[in-house]
Amino acid sequence: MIIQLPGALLRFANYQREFQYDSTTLKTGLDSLMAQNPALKSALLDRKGKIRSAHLLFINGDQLDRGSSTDRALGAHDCVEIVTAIAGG
Amino acid sequence: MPFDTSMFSPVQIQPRRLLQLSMSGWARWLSEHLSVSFPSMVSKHHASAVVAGIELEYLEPLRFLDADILQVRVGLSARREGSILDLVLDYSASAKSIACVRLVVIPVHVEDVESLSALPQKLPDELLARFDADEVADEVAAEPRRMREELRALRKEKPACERRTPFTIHRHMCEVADQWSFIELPGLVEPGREAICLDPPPRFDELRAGVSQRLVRIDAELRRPFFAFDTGILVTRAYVLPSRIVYVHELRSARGRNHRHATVIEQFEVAA
Repeated sequence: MIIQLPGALLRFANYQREFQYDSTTLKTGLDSLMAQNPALKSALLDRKGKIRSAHLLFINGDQLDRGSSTDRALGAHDCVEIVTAIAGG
Repeated sequence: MPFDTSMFSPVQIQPRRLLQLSMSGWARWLSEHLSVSFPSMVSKHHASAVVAGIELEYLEPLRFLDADILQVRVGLSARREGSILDLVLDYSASAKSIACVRLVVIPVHVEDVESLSALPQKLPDELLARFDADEVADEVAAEPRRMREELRALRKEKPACERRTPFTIHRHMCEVADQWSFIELPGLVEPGREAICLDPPPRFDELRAGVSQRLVRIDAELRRPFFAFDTGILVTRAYVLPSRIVYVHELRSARGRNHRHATVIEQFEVAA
């Protein structure tokens, strides 16, 4: 799958916008992303390990409902886009 | 603020500079009235704010040689229990009001002080309690409708031309969270307008007013952020109206569904 980061998070991923993984579920894809970019973890996840409210996930352009299972199966050509709603700078 | 040459165009004080000074005035107001700095507001109160609306009105002509010092008076008030802030800045020179900036500001709760990701949330009670009584409006004040009315009126008019200009959000256009800054809106829309001004369509030479005449006002609505390195499309429509020249700009995402991130209306006086 392809995972795309928003500009707000690029500084936690060495300014790489797009990542490609062979993972088969959303969860394992996100795990791979954070294993490759450890600084992303606290920026993207809250203390309970859930995606912070300020970030939204889109899969192939469709917004993933908050609370949806991340065990969802994804294929090699699926695109996960992380969008930051707003930042407080 | 002493005048310097970088503050002015040949015809007036630059709008970007007025917005930049608005930000400085805001920071100073917070420090003097609420005894809080922007950094401590974020780090201690997990609070910040984003600008959702801009009204900049030039009241009197003012050129570089007309005065030496710019003065600004700042007022901040809260409404809807601190879920909206109104920042008003009156600029004057030589004892004359020369411009007024009104910013509609949305307080946000900062979830994480490293990434500064945030969500809209009313100002913390601890900070709201530091406002003077006359700085807090209990009633629901009327939303500024000027921009929407202006856009509605323009729908009846036929634009003289339309132009699309790609742009990239570079880091110098962003604030500390790598999110675009409202200060940069006048500069972001400028390429679309200037290209039309310098090469207007046949029989629309009046459109050159967009560089030759005084900007009278800017209204802007910011709907969603851009972040550093994002790309977008600036859609500019130019209108020649009986008493003014109007440029309407939409800043849209270049990706996905081309969401509209902001709308800006610039109005110029007509040459005498």
